[in-house]
Amino acid sequence: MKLLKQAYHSLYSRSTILAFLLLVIFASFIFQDKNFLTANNIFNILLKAAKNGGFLALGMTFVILCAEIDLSVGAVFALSGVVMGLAGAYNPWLGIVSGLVVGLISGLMIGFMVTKMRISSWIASLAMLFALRGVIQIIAKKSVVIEGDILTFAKAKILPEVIPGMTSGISILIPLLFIMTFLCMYVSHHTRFGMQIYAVGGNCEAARMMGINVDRIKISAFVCCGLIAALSGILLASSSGSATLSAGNTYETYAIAMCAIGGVKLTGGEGKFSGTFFGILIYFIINTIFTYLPTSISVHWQSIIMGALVLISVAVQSEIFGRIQFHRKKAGKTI
Amino acid sequence: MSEILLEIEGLEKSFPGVHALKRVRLQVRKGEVHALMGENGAGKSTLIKVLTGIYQKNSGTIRFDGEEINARTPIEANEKGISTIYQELNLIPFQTVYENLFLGREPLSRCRRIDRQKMISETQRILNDLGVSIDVTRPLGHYSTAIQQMVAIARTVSINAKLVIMDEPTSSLDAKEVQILFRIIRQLKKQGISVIFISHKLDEIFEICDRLTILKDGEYVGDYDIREMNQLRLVSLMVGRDMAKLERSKQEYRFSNAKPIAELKNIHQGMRLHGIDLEIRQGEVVGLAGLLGSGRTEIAQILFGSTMPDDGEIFWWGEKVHIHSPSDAIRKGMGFCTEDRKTEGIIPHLSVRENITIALLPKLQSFGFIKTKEQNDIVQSYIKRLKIKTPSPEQAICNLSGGNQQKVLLARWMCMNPKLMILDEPTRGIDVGAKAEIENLIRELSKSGISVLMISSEIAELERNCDRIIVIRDGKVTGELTGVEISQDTIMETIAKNGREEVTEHD
Repeated sequence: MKLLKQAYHSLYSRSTILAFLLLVIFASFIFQDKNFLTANNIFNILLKAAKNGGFLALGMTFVILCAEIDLSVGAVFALSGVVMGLAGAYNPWLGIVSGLVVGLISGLMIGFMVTKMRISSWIASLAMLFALRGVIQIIAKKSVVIEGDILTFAKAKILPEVIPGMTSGISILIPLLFIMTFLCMYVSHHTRFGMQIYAVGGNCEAARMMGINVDRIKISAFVCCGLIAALSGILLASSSGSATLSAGNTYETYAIAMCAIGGVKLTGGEGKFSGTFFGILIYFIINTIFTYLPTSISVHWQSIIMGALVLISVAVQSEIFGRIQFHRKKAGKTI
Repeated sequence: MSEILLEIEGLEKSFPGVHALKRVRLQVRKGEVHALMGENGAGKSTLIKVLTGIYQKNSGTIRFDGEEINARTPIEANEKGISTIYQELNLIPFQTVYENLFLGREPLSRCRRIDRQKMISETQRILNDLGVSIDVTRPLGHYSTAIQQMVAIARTVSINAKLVIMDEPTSSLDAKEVQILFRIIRQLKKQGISVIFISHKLDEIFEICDRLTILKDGEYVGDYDIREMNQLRLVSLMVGRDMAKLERSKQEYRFSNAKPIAELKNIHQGMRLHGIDLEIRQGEVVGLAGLLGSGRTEIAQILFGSTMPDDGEIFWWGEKVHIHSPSDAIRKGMGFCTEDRKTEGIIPHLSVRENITIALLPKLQSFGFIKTKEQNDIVQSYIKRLKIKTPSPEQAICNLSGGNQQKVLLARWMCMNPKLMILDEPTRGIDVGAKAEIENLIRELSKSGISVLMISSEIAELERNCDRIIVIRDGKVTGELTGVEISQDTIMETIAKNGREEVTEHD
C-alpha cells in the first residue's frame, strides 16, 4: 500500500503520461496501415527529438522551475555548433570545449543580469538572443563544415542489427537524450540544488528567508540551461557534419511549448523533468503525425494546430490539478 | 524569576522624516509568552524588524542569551536562535511538508544525495511532538492555513530556536484552530522556548500570554504582568483615551417598515451555501455572524457578483436581478470592502488620490481625459471627512498604516454614492483608535440611508454596530437577532445552540 502511495505521488505529471498514452493508442489505431508502431518509426521520432530541441526543453525546465525564462537557447544552440566547427579546425578538443563555453558564458551572463542587475529574464535573454545571432553572422559568413573523427563523434551508431528493421544501428543521440533526462531527474530529486530550485520558483522570498542563496540557484539554473543548449548544438553539428548559421531558429518557443505540455508551470516551482520528457515525446509524435496527413494540410495549418494542442493540453492539466487541490484543501481543513 | 533571554535597551530607529522607535526597551524571560501591544504605527513591526535583522538600528543595545547581538540579515538572526512566523507564511506551497521543514539545511547522505527518508522520519517526529499528525509527503498547499502555520512553527523548533516571534498568527485561523495553536505555544513554553506574541485580539492576549509590553507612538509605555491587567486598562494604556466610545450605540430596531433593498432567496452554492434567505432593508446595518468557513464571505461574494449561485434568486429594490460580475453590482449601487485588503483592495504603488477615485473614473472623465480639478476636490473632501492620515494625496498607499488604507478603501466606495456597502472584516488588523473611527463611519452611513452588510469575526464589534444580526452556520441561516436582543452572549448562544441541535439530528 505504501509503495502504491509513493508511486502515485511520484507521478506528479500523471496527466501528461495519460495524454501521452492516449496519443500513442490513437496514433497506432489510425495509422495502422502506415505501421506507426514500428521500431523504425519510433526511433525516427526519438532521433528527431534528440536533434531538434528535445535537449533544449530539458535545459529550459531548470529555468522555468525557477520562475524565469531563457529565450536565448536557440541562438546558443546555433552558435555553439559554429564555434565548435571553427575552433575545431585547430584542435578538435578545443572545438568541443569552446562550444560548451558558449553555453556557459551565455548562462552566466543572463543569470548575472537577472539576479544582480534585476533585469527581467525575458528582456535579458531576449537581448542575449539578438546578440548571439549577431555574433554568429560576424564570425561565420556561411555554414561551417565539420570534419575529423573526434568532431563527428555524434555520427556514431550503436547496436547494429540488434533491433529488427534497424540494420545500421541506432544513432548515439537517442541514448544521450535518455541519459540527459535521467541525469536531470536525478539532479532535481536527489541533490540540494534540485530541491532548492523548486523552493526558489515556488516562493522566492520564502526561500531567501530560509537561508537559500537565491541568486546562486538562479545563476546555476541559467548555466545548466545554457550548457545543455550548447551540448545539443554540438551534437547536431557533429552528427550532421556541418553547422548552419540559422540552426535553432525559433527553437526557444518549441522548448517552452514542450515544457508546458509536460506540465511544467511557467509560474515556477511546479513540474518535473519526467513531465518534460513526455512533453518532448508528445510534441514530436504530433509532429510526425502531420507527415502522414494529406499534403493539403500545409505547414501553416500544422503550426496552427500545434498551437491549439499546446493550449488544450495546458488547459486540461490545470483543470485537473485545480480540482484535485480543491478537494484536498477541504479535506485538510478538518485537521 | 526565571532568567532573561532577550533584553533590549534604549533602542532608536528613525527613517527619513519619521522617528519610529524612541528609547524602546523590551525584556523577555526564558520560557514565557510575551505580548507586544500597541496601536498600528506604535512601532511593533519596526521593533521586530530591527530584532530580526531586516532593519538596522540607529543606537541602543540588544542582548540575547547573554551576548550582545546585531543581526544584519534575517538569516543571521535565525542562526542566533530568533525565528519569526510572519502573517504571510513564508513557506513554499508546492513542496511537501517535510521539504519545507528542511529547506536550506537538507541532510545529505552518501555522494551528496539528499536523504529524504531521514527528512521524512525527522519531520514526523517533530510534528508528533507538537501533536500534529499529517501525511508529511503531501505538498504543503494541500493543508489548511492552520496546519501550514504549525509546519512553520515546527520548522523554527527544529532549528533550535530560543525565541519565536509570531506576528498576528491568529488572523486567519478560526476558533478551533486558534486553540490548536495555543496548545502548541504552551508546548513551546514547556520546552523553555520564549514567544513574542503580537495580536489585536485582546481575548487571546489574556488567554495565552504571561507578560506584556506596551508601545505607543514609538515609545515604551511599560511592561506588566498579565495578572495585574484587565482589558479596559490595557486598551486605555494603548490608546490613551476612554473606552466608552466603543459601546453599543443601537437600541430599538427601527427598520421594521423600511423598504427592503436587497434580498437573497434560497441561495445554493457549491459546498458552501445551502439555502440562504436574507433581506437587507434601507439604512440598516446587518451583521453576519458565524465561524470562519460558515459561508459568510460567500454570501457577500454572491451578492456582489464575484461568485455565481448554483440556485436561488436575488432581488434588488424588489425586482429580480441577475448579477453576473462585480461591475453589475457596482452599477446597481453596491460597494464591497473585501476581507483581504492587500490582495483584493489597495493598489499598492498608486497614490491615495488614485486609489480613492479609481472606481469613480468612468464618471470623472470627459472624452477620455480625467477632470483633474473635480478629482482633487473629491479626494480632499474625503481625506478630511474620514480623517485619513497621509502627508499628501500623492503618497503611495502602501506607505500608510492599515487603518488608513482601510479608510481610503471606504472612501473609494463612498464617493460612488452606494446604496449598499458590504464590509468584510472591516477592522481586521486595525488598531483600536482607527477602529472607533471606522465604526463611527458605519453609523454615519446608516444615518444617511445607506445599508451596510457587515461581516466580522469579532462578536463585540457586531454587537456594537448592528441593528440586526443573522447567524450563519454551515451555509444555513440558523438564527436572527434584532434590536435589544443583541448582545455578545445571545450571539454566542445562537451560534453554539444550533451547533448542538445539529449534532443530535445526526445521531
